[in-house]
Amino acid sequence: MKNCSEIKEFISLYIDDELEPDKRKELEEHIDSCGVCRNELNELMRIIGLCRNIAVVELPGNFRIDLHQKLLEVQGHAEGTVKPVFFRTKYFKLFSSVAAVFLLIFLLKGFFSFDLFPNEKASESSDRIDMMAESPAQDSAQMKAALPDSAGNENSFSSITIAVDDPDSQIEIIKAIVLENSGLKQPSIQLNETETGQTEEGSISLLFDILNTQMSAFIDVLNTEYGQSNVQQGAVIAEDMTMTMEDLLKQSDTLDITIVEVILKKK
Amino acid sequence: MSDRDKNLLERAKSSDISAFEQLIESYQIKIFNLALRMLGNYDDAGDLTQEVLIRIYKSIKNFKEQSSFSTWIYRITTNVCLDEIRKRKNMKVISLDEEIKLDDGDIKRQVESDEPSPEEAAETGDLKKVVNDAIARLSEEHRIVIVLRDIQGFSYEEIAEMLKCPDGTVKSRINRARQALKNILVSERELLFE
Repeated sequence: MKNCSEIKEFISLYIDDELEPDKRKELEEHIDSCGVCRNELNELMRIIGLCRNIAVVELPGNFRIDLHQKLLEVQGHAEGTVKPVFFRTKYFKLFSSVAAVFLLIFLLKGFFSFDLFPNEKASESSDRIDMMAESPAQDSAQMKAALPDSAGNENSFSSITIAVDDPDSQIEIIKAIVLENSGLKQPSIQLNETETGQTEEGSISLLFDILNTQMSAFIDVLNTEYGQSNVQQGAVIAEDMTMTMEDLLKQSDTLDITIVEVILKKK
Repeated sequence: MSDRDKNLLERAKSSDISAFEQLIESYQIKIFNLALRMLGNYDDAGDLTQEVLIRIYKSIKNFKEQSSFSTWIYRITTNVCLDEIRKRKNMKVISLDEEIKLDDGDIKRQVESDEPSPEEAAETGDLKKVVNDAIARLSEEHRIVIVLRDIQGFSYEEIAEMLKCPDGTVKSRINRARQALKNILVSERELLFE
């Protein structure tokens, strides 16, 4: 550390006592002999001193009362949506999954016995069923059609892009957030590192399915952890996703799922 | 975290409002002052502080004991402040007539009204006002590290965690922010002595 521009780089660290001993010594030696840098140091220390003495301002008068009011509102909101006791038992999720499966079977049964061609004899309608049941892709297409319309977001596919400084380190954290804030079962997290790969921007994608109702909670947590301006939501073309969608639909015993892709981008 | 605080935290996680209020009691002034120095406006800082606390209340269930509660709180505060500033920047572009009013004028006036007693102000002369103004003029990336480091006194490590960026970035940012602050002050001083 011989010249003044180098000293400038380390001056802050020196003031904050963050320099290793040998570097500190070098700096001090330079300061001793260099008036310009000495002035620089003194000026900075003076400014920092002024900053440190900036007065602490008291909270506004009604602050605590206002806050208390708002907290009550939040609590009231949460309680208003508290479901009756039956819905909160740990078996509810199991019951609802079973019910959902039955409902699905019932609907499919209904769909297949619907008389599409009223002019033809009953025996021929079974041929139609075989034809319709041919390919797996068609199967799930019919499953989709049979689903009640509340899952009008049956084709829901969202992507969320989070800008982070270091995607690799954030992956585990994101996974943890997903596991905690998503729906019924362990979401099938598909790590698309090889598919989307590391792009030039350095991004990593996670794919998972999540109960639609859990989306907002999940987004809230992300916004809080990473800052709203760093989290972007967007709809994405479902082209690549159809196969995954169908797989998930087949495996899934929930009616109402959204597939979410989380993309971690370098800031 | 003290045992008392740990207990309060547990209760707060079960939506116990009173426990939550006690838990954040010692933090709210700092949050408020952080917001005040970032936004430059007394009323806005009050609103923002409440928003921060509500958010913390809502997501406190997600807080893991392993990390530092304090750091978590100030990280949320920092994020909310920066979001708000960026939002306003975007809004500024839209309302062109307001632009001139919203610029330095408003901010200066607001910060002035927060000054301590008149005697103190007279003593240090214009210095404190000038420093406050200068800080308000920094870019938000520089302002946040000056506020966190030189006004609030957080360590480099804590700041890195709050801003979620590497150590090296914090070090250079603090250095540059201080340089920027110095430059603003130097130019102000020149104006003062003209």
